[in-house]
Amino acid sequence: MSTGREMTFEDVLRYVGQEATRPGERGGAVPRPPGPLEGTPGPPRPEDLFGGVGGGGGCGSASCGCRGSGDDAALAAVTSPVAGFGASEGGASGRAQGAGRPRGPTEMGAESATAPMGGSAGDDGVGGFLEKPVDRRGALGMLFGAVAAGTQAVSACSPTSLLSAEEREAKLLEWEEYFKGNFRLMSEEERAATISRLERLSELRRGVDVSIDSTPARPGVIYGYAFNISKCKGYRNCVEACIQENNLDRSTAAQYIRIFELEEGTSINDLDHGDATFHHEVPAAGHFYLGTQCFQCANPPCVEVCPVGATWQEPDGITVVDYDWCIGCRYCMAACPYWARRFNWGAPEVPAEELNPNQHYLGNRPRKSGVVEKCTFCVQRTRQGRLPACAEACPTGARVFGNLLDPDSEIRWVLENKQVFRLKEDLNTEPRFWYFMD
Amino acid sequence: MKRVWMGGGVGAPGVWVGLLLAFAAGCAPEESPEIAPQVDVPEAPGLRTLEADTVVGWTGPGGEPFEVSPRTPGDRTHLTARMGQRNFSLQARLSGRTLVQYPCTSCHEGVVEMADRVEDAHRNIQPLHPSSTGAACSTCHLRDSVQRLSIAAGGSTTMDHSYQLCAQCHFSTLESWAGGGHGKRFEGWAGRRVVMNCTDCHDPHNPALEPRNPYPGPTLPGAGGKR
Amino acid sequence: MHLKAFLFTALDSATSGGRRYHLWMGALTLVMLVGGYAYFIQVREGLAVTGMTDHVSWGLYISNFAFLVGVAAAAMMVVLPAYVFADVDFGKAVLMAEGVAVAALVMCLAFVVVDIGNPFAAWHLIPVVGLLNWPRSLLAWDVLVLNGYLLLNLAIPFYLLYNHYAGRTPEKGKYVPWIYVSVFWAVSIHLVTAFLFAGLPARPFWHNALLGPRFLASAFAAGPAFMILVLWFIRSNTEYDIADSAFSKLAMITTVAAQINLIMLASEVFTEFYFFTHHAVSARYLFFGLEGHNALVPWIWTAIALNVGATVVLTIHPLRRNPKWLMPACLFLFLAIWTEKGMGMVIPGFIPSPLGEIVEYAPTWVELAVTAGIWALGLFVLTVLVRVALPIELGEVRSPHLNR
Repeated sequence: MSTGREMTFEDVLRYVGQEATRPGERGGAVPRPPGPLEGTPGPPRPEDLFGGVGGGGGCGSASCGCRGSGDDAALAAVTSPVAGFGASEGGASGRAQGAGRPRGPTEMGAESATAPMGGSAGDDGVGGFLEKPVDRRGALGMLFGAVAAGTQAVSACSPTSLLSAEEREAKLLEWEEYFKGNFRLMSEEERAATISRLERLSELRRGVDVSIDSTPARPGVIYGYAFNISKCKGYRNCVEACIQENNLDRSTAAQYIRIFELEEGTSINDLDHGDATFHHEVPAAGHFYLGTQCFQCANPPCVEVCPVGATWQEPDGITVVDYDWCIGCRYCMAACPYWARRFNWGAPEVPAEELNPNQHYLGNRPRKSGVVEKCTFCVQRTRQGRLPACAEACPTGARVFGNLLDPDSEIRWVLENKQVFRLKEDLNTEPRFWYFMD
Repeated sequence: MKRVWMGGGVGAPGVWVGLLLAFAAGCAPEESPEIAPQVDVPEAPGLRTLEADTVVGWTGPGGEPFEVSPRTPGDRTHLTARMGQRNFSLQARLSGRTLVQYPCTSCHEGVVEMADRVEDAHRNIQPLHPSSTGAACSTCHLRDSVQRLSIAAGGSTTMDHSYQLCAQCHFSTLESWAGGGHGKRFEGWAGRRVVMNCTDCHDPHNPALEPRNPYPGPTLPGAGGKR
Repeated sequence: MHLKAFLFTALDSATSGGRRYHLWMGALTLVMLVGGYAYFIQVREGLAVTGMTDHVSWGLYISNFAFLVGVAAAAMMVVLPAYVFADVDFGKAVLMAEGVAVAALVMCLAFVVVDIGNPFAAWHLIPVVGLLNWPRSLLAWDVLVLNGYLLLNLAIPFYLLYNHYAGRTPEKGKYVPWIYVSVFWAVSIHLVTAFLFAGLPARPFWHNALLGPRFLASAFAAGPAFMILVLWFIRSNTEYDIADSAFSKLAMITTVAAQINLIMLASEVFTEFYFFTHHAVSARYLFFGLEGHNALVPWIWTAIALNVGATVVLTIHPLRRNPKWLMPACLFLFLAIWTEKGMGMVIPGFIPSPLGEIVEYAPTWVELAVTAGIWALGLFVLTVLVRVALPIELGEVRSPHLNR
């Protein structure tokens, strides 16, 4: 960056970088691709993604508490622009209808009763959830929900009532979040409820309006990745794009991708002779570059070892983490032979203006302190048909991504026409990430 | 039913049964997933409006036709910009689909040989390629129409299909490009396959990528080093 | 009616004592308070205040955990002869051994709790309410077996003590089966803990079949060594008489285990270094350092020196039978195994990282303070348990409801 030529060149880069994060491109304002229900206008709502949603989230862990709290919940609903209370409104009313306008308890009740519902309307309300089979966790949720309501009622007479309505709402939402279940086992209503809570919390806590997607794996798709080690030049544009796309912690400069610089002719055995910390003009003469990230193993050791099932492999082959279910034991980090997992040693920081608002529950939504995170092949993008951010950003075309089940995909072409290898194949992890050469 | 416990929405007792089953089935080889090429995946939004020409002479994986995006300088994903190569700085005078290249013919009809160049014209163009044979403008450009590219076997092609010119020597690379092993695809992995042209990344007059400084990499905590 | 009296007596025993006792308990409490403060900081700031990194993601806490599981398991070495083989010499040591087991288990659980990044989510580990990934995850196994072992080691001594207190003879049919269970359970807790590491092919340093047996051997050396120290202290400071033969038998157990442990160490070192392979990189880091990184080298050689020295002393009969040699040997053996099996086993597994990067680890003051606090907690628990058990076993206290 010292010479004038490079300055210009950096300027160009910067220009492109800004373009890449321009709000118009990533912001919620741009219409996103429709969900599975074709023709749905606007951003996909959680309930679209799950098909019909039964009436009011009767059994959702937190919603009962809200409902039970009566006046207090109503009060909260009045004082807040609603979105966070998707749960109390019943999943069916949803964010799109509710966002941005306050509503009174009457309207709320009326809507839950009259909203068009996939499930039986009778599910709504107290009678509904008494009839519902309630498992033990659900019952626990109700109990805690009731406690939450009680807490709020108490807080009305305590110094906490001095808190602003927004602060109280945020605290209640966080309290409800604490008792939610594992995402994989949540009912559709519970998923919708937690997503609306998280979206509202982002608004309250960060001042950023985000949309959290929960698109499930597309049937008939298993993602695969190929990396051309004769093409990669070590520019690390992928690293940059990954950080921005996935809301990686800026304070510790967390990076999912590591690009190793290796001298030509050296062994790539465990990358012992590689250096990922290089900072000089690249490509350096006599060197080649090899990138690592999560390889989305077909037989992932990290999933085996998790004591609480907070990480699992999705049907499309992506190993994801439920950040709110992870207890932070870091056993998965010890189990990963590719050093693909990162831990939030402190609370991660992403400036509000840099936060990518297009999020997925299992992907790039902001994490919290004390939990593990990892590359998801940008699940928030790939399930919408887009390329992962790293593949899109690569200036050399070293990154090939696609559907392994589609015999006519680029990734299959590479696997069938190039000589490929994977790292540490002897460990039987079956990575879905291949290296190849021209 | 493989991996019972992966099913969403199973109640807690179901998980237990599932866990046990999964454990029991853990040793058994998993059945290979069915091939399902028909996939309901939305096309990346940018692809819907992306203009492109069908590639002539090559097919993609599975014999499927694919498209190449014409040179549209100023496009955000235009990789010459991303790569920092500034040779084509004509954006201001370009507009619209029909004028994909600044028409050279507005100044000169045919190729001007290097020796005859006017002092300040096209100083940024240094034809270094192909170096082995020695490069001249007319190596690639039609002598009497600089806007078209000459094909040695006869005929010519437009700059939007410059890959046909490159393929004359780099045939194996072109094969890889058509298959997806070389080059880049626009926007999405699903739906329309629109790829970048050779000249999107490579300056045709000097195709090697230039060295530059990378984005900052990781630092190892503590006094950590590297073997 | 005995129960209430029992609890009151227990409280009374635990809170009364001489000046030295109160000083000791006061000191332990102080250390615990410091540890508690350090843990408070850790909860507030996150694990960033520890020396752990993405590269070395387990540190002092898990090291201590792995070691203490062994100490807990080693109680079996006293329980087995005492109950199963009806060895009268061990009869008096057995309650102390179980006290040591309980204290060690309390420390184990505490170390796990302080190690997890999101302790408020710990309820996710509770089966049914949360989601325990059992039987897939070895950590889930560990949660179950450790808590089960804790339960056994609380229930059996309580049953015995309570019956003695109430002036009854414990019914063999009611506790002996559980003792058999606890003997097997003891082996299982330590094997499970070893498998927790050995089951990770990502870390060649741990991924070997010898790890489990070595865990057992080192545990059955360090545990009885610690027990000898505790029993010696009890015998020299109270009227609770423990036969010399109990010491000599415990010392013999310690000796044999320490010898086996050394043989295993030797075979491990041989395999790693006779023909150096890539998989031995971590061992090279541990024993000789790697590319100028050698934080653990002085520790491991000190540990080996102590280990060998103590084993030699224990092996020579006259020295082993002389408390002046036996006690230091036991102490040094304990410290050596703590070093070797704690930091010496856990940390090199992470160095170099699976991608070949070398990041070293050193605990911060927060970790040291929390660790010290947990050790103080363990000693506190042990002291209380011994304090409660001794008067009952000595027959000094009996239920007031008894008709004498």
